[in-house]
Amino acid sequence: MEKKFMAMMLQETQRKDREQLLACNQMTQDWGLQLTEEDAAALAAARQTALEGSGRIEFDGGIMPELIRTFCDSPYLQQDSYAQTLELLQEAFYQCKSEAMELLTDRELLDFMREYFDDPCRGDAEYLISTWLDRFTRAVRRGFQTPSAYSRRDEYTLSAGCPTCREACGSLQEEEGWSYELFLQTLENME
Amino acid sequence: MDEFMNLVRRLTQRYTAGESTSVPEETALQLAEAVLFILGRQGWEQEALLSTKEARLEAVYEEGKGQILAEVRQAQSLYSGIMENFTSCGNLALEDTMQKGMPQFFLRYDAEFAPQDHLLTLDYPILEHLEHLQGIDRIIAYLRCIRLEQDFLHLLPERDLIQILRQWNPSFRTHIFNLPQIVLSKTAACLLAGTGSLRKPFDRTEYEVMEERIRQLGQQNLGEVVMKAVEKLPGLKADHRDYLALAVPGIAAEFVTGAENRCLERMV
Repeated sequence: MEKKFMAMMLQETQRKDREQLLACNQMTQDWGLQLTEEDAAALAAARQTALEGSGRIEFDGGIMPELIRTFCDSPYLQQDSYAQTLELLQEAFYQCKSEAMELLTDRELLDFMREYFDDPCRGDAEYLISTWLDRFTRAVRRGFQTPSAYSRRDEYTLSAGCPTCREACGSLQEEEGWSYELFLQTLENME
Repeated sequence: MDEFMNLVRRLTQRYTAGESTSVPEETALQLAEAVLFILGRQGWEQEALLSTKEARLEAVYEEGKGQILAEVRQAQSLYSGIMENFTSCGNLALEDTMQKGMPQFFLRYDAEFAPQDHLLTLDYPILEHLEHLQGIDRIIAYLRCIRLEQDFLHLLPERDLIQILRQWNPSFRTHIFNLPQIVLSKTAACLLAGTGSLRKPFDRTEYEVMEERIRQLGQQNLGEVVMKAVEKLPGLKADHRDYLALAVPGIAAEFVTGAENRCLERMV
């Protein structure tokens, strides 16, 4: 039963993928971002690989239209690396959903990714994935309360509003700050 | 297949409350099994389900879900009835299963997202095999068996039951075994030894008489003798007798082995 069901699910998820991705071009044309037929096909295939890799099943159109909607106004997205960046973000998204043990909603994860993609990652998807998303999911697994978890609590306690994603995630910073001594030392070494 | 997948899709959306487009494979499988379980109870074969395009599948599913909820209520009332006059004779497996486990089942059973899961390990062993049943079906069948067992146990005063169990094994409280089976063994042993009191332990002579009779009868005939003892028990209906008859082959085999190895005193 298990294998047959999985095959059916996979078949189901492959449907309409490409058309949906191409339909997003209308939304992103104002920002000069377009996907070609080949890009859409590659992203649809990458979606299957990402879902299989993270051990997930998805119905309907998947997260990509929402991912595009969330990221399309980022100043760091460029047409020449658009499809490639989307592929990386999509894979990271599914991976994080599983690593966060289902404690994050799609919206929370997308908001976090979008916010940190711009600053401090400056459009570097690999930096976002290897550093910030890794820290974020680790924190969530250790009991970090996401804004939606705060909201659920507030319903009962009627306490003050929940923090924004950035306020809540402020503690994710692990690097030490700017060291003037180290800077001088480096300058001396260069001389 | 389309209709079945639509049901699974809608159930997944309800499961995630629309906050996640994807779920782990295990969750998707659990939800698909939930749909299969409900439709299976309505007479739909798995193969037929995966190939059907019948549009009324959702109505069948909703009806099946309603039936499950009705059966949960039926199980609750059966359980309440049993607990009004419940005796475990101090046996921890029975006590924990009924007094601690069952209320948790009613508290946590999920008729929508995991109706196929019966949640409990049901540690206390009953005479009937229920491995082929799932979810609420298994719980209802288990409670019906417990109901029959309780009726049987109430034929004797609790003090006498405890006496019989203590003679069988002084640590009967912590052992995992079927209570009526031990009481029935003792009844059959009394019949074979020709003694009248269930409470009294057997002496050596009585064991020798028993061994001799068991050798004479053989396993087949012995089973019939034990069965007759069950049938003669007063205050029992056909349901009770059919249920207790499930213990007879085991008791007969045990007695034959005990007589062959001269160790009946460790059994009754």
